[in-house]
Amino acid sequence: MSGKIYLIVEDETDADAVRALLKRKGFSVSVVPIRAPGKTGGVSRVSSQIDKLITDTKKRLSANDCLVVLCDADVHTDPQQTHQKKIAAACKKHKVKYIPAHDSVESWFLADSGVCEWLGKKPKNWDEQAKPKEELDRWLKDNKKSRYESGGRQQVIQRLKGDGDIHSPSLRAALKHLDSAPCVRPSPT
Amino acid sequence: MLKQLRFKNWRSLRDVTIDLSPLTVFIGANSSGKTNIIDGIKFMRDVKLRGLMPLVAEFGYQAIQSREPLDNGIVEFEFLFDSFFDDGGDVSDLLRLKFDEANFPFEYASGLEEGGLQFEAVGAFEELPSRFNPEGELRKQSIATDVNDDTDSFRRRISRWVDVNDELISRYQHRMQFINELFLPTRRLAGREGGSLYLIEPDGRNTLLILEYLKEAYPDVFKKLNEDVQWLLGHVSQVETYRNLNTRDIELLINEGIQKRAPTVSVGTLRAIGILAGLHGLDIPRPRPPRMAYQRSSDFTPEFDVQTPGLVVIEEPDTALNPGVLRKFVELLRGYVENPDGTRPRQIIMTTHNPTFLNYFQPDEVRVVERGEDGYTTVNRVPEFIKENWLDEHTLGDMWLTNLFGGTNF
Repeated sequence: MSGKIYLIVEDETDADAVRALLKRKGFSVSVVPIRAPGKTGGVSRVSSQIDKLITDTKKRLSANDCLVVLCDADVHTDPQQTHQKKIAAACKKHKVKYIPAHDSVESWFLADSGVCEWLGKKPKNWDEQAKPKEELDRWLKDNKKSRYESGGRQQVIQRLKGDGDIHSPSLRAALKHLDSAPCVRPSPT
Repeated sequence: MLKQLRFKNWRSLRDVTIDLSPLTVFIGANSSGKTNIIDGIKFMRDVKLRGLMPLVAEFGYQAIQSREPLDNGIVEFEFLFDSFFDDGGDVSDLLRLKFDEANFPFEYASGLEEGGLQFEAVGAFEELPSRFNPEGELRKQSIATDVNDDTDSFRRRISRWVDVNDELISRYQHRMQFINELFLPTRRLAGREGGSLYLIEPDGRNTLLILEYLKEAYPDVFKKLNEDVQWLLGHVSQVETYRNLNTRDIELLINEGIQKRAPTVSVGTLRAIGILAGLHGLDIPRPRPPRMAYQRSSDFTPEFDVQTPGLVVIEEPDTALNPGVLRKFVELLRGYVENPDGTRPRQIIMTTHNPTFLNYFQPDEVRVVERGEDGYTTVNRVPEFIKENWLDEHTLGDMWLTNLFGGTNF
């Protein structure tokens, strides 16, 4: 029996992305998001509570479950990577997998052929580009008269083909991590 | 007070024991099994009100028995009550149902246990093993049937059984109010429409009858209800009922400000008034059920004691209520439960999906309902680590949204 991935995230929308990507990749696993409490801040909210979050999430794990921390790396807005380093260190200390999206998970969406085809664009690696979320929002506004935060995100996730790892090294690394996780099993065919 | 519920093979509650507090709030994702808990309590109440067979006929076994039941498939309900009497122990009420291929319970057993004494109530159609009767042999000396035993011991047992059973039935029949999520009292009721004068219908249709009865027969209670409404809602200065003798309608009148009649009434206001009518409906004394013929007439008590704990079950009480009144609302409920003057004890069970509402409860009052991958429900308390590690900086509602103790749809 497959376990569950407990995924520590800034907010549950990141877990929706991982859930959809794993499903498109044919993995059978439940994704349980654990959201860092608080209303302000993104990655800083996770980093300030990361030790407690990991320690207490571990208390929910069953034998076949695993724990992963997923955060936007925000390399363009936080060049010092202060929060990232703290999260990475905590994950190392607690022996937990850490998956940073190079800038944000939206860069994975922009590398996906399903999303790009729907938006009339060509998929490519957006890991090194600044503000992929804003770019995706612009594409939605221009091509679909929609906005990312108001209905657009759901449509994007529904159109994921799950091949963004061809272009995105950070997604490739993330899927490699997840693929080797003991709780992830291929879907029965 | 109802201290514990145990369900086996009841819908999604395949093997679940739930400890209750004076104030208990169930949280959980949609379809996690919260309503099955509430319906389980209501099922036991309705068995006492309407009888088992009509209820089973109405539901059908598929709406009663778990899809893949455990063990022998017997559906069990066991409710543990606080001691009924000063000299007694806790009372356990057990109902067991076994279905045949025609989907009807061809066997059932019910029993009571109090202070170490076990009472098998009127038995089964056929032999059915139970905790009280583990061999499955139908008791030849069943309390209700063996009236020829004339020993003192037997008479004492039967007398005790009658007292306990009467009290139990009274609590189910007269001291339980159910208010469901579609609860919405109407403002006008045709006078010919009947209904209970103290038990509120789960959808609220008889609210006006209760309000009118309170106003006419128990003005002190009606006054207290008005005080509660004014305190809770602020804009309402008076709740009144008016009976139009020509059209025979009853109308709910709500004054706002200085006796100005409100032309319209919001859903939230109506629901709040209705919920309070349910709470105050328990202040109406009601007759005891008929006693068994061999009891002395001096044993009869003409009116039921309103100081006996009453249970109010409310699904989604915060629906249509402004977040600004939620604190007052919970304070009001807590006032009934904590009951400082000891005159109107209440136990309240609620469900909610609202993290703001949850903030006004203690972690020990919260039960987290989850549906596992096997499709069956589990019920847990808020873990200790939430109280110890997080609640200094974050509210309980905020912590619910982290999913660290489950009970969400994320």
